[in-house]
Amino acid sequence: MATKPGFPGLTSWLLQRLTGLFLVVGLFIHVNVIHFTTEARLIDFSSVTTRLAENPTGWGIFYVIFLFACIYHGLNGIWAIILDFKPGAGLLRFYLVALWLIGIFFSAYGLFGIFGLVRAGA
Amino acid sequence: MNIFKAIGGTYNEVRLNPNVGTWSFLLHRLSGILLAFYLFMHLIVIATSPGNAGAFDSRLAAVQTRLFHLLEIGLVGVIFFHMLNGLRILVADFFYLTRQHQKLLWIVVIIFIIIMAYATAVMLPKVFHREVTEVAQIVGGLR
Ligand code: HEM
Repeated sequence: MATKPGFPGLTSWLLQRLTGLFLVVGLFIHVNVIHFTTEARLIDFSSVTTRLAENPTGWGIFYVIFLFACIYHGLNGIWAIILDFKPGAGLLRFYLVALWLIGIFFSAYGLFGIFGLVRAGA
Repeated sequence: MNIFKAIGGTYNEVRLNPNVGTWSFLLHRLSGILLAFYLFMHLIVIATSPGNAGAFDSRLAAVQTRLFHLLEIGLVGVIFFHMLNGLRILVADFFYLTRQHQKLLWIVVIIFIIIMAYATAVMLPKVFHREVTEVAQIVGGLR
């Protein structure tokens, strides 16, 4: 088989599953906090920063891991779909670079948001 | 590869193999794409101006109308379908249960229905509640 860009196939396959497993825990926490609450009907700056301030380190670490797991899993999933359609080598490299750029951009964007909100609550 | 060929190929896959495995594969793929797209929109809404209460609040108020609260139930449905079906894939892969995948899918469907019944019961009242701006005023008045 010709060499293909990106992580070796088995690594991506395993990481897709491991991040998926982490996302089960992460999404249960996230959905529970945001959607399955009955009292707070409106989510706003003060409700968010107050919650984060209760445990800034814990929430900070949780959200950073959650962010990276989501972005990796989502983009690696799209990468798997792209591979499924067997594009040519040039196109494949283009998609890989595009996915990396999207990933780096949104990782930085997400970190900016997480640290900003945690700091605002502190 | 072009997008039309990709869609055509997927269509043929469903047409030639119209069985439970193909449908769950297709739904897993569509839900995954939807969630990835949602993730980036979500980051733009949440992580823009995290240090500015006014800007943050007006952006969040815009996505907490009745319509968005209704759509959120759909979002939670997409999340839990992908999560449960993803777990089914993990179980089949790691516990050599590939041949049992159909039975596992019925377990997924049952758990999905239970979770969504709960989610709808909790989230539907938000849809019919007063407009968010009114709530914001009340919350503001209480502070
Ligand atoms: C809730 C926990 C989740 C679990 C257990 C999970 C599990 C999985 C698994 C096992 C796969 C691989 C499917 C395969 O190789 O056949 C997968 C694919 C995928 N996931 Fe997730 N996932 C979860 C959440 C998410 C989230 C939050 C996103 C969006 C950011 C996402 C996006 C995707 C995409 C785009 C694919 C590729 C679909 C395909 O290959 O057809 N997943 N997921």
